[in-house]
Amino acid sequence: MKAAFPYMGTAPIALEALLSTLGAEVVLPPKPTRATIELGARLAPETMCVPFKITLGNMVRSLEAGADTLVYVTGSWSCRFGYYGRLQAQILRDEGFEFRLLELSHGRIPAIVNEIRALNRGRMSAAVLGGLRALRIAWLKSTAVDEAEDRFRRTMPTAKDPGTCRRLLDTILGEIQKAETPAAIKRVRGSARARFAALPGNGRTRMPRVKLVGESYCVVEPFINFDIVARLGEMGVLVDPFLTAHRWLGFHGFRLGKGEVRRMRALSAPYWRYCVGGEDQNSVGQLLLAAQEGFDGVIHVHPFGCMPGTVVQPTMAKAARDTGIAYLPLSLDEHSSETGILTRLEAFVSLIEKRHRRHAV
Amino acid sequence: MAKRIGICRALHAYHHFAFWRTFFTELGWEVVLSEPTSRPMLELGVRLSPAELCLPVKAFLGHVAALKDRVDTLFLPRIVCTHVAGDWFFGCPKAIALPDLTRAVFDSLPVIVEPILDERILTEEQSFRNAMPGIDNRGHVREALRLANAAATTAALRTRTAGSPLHMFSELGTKDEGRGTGDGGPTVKVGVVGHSYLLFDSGLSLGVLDKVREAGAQPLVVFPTAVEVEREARQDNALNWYYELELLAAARRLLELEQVDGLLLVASFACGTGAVTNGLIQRAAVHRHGVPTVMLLMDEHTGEAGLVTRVESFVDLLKLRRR
Repeated sequence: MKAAFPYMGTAPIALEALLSTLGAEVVLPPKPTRATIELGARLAPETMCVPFKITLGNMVRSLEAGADTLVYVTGSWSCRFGYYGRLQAQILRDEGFEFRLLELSHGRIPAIVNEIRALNRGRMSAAVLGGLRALRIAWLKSTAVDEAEDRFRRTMPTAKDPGTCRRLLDTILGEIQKAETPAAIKRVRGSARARFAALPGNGRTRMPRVKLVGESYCVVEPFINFDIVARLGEMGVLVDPFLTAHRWLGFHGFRLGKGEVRRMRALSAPYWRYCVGGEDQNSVGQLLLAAQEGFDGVIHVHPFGCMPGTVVQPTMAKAARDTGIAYLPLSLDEHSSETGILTRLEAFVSLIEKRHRRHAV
Repeated sequence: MAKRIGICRALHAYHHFAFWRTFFTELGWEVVLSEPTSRPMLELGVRLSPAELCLPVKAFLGHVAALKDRVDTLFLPRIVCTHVAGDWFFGCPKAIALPDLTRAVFDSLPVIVEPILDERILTEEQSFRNAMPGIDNRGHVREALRLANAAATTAALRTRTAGSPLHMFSELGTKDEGRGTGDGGPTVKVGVVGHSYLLFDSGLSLGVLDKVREAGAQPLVVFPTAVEVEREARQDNALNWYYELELLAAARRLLELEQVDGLLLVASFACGTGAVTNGLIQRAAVHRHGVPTVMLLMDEHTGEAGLVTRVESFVDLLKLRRR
């Protein structure tokens, strides 16, 4: 089995570890580029949301590189995300590709167990042991990545040279990806904190804090959100995304973080009483929480035409008005221009800085 | 005193108005239906909504604006989940979120009756009773629901034979805003597929069916039976949206039984579910049946002249192919 899966932020590091420890060969697609998105946009239905187009372009690249099994993390109901796997499979088969489709979700555990058993030539005991080992390695890598990214987000606004900080993150992520044993992963993880702390600072002590909310893919994948975390970091703003690749995998794979979902539901109840997907309820709840916790602003990102992402807009705006927190919605698609987004981010940052100074006095 | 409950002549009213009207009338409420979509109504809706929403939802907000001060209750159902052929099928996220959207957009609103129609967790009776805490008489609600379901069945039958759902609105004394699809006469048959709330709301679709007729072709809109919808639900890669199953079933009948010369897909710009469904229908029409299709994407900027040109050239093409 040569497996491929869609690119999403740093999730591939853990997924690659999981599948390769299970005994599958993994075809990692190149990071998404303009060409990937254009390829996906050509094959996808015109008004489909942009994560679909990027992941579709990704899958074509992986299939060209020799993949024979496509693995999707999925969860299905009224949002289009639930169809990604099935619809992309149909489009790719029409394009003449041959492959197997494997959908991973907490609802398909028996099928997944069978898959693992097949990889171990049908021996159940080997499969169970292999499965546990794979889960452990993937989990360790995922948490190590999450911690490194968290360090990066905190260091960026105070770093003397943001470029070095960025490169350090890439180096550490590379090391985590290469680490093969739990001990090696732990070593990298242990050193990350000190290495970020050792970067020369720029003397800034107070910085505005911004909460990043919105649709999962747009929050987690730097390619589509124009690396918003690093960009704001360069401008001296601390960004706290409500979701990371690690938490996304945990939620969709094992239903971790249900408590937080419940908390967000309770918090958002005066504004949003029924979750329809696309992290709508989470976004409203997180905005209200950010206001309570004294954040300086909230940025909401969603793919253009995202059904839940669009319909929640007036509610987000109303909640922001009611709480007085600065709020910027960004709608992203294959036509978004970096300059346009940067201009709006700069204007937003100068607004919150002004407010931040006023509050600080 | 009878309560006045407002129902918007938009979105799912084109499917379920007969049910809703019978139900509330049986409970002794006075049903107030908003006027057909007018230009000013639509423009108000557009101004109130975020730019990215689809046309029917924008129009819906216009209807709410027109109704909200004339009634003391507003009916905004959340159509979440329907059971078909052993599986669950969902409504569109935007339609599910309508009450929350409406509350965010308007500052003052009448009381909102918002039953959560989710067959996974609630029976029909529970949904409506939860939404109307003032009503304690269980037997009364049950009886009203029974009559409403009967009315819905009759209405669905009439919609299928008349080829239009507009008869549901006409009994309230307001004028029909379009005609059903006739038969006989012209030779070229154009199958038209689109959500009823877009196709039959001439304020939104600019009377596209009439345009087809004026271009010299016979427009054909079909309404699938429950059996046809179930057949779509049983497909391997079935879509999980109930109202899209209806479109797929309609397209299948037009292509396989009616043998139309061309297929006209009418959808609204930014319709999320339509992006998936229309892709599937076009694929089936062109690759499997060799039937030409054209997709008209409607939004608040769609001009009548542009629409006429596209319909005429499509009909001309079909006539040429016939020869």
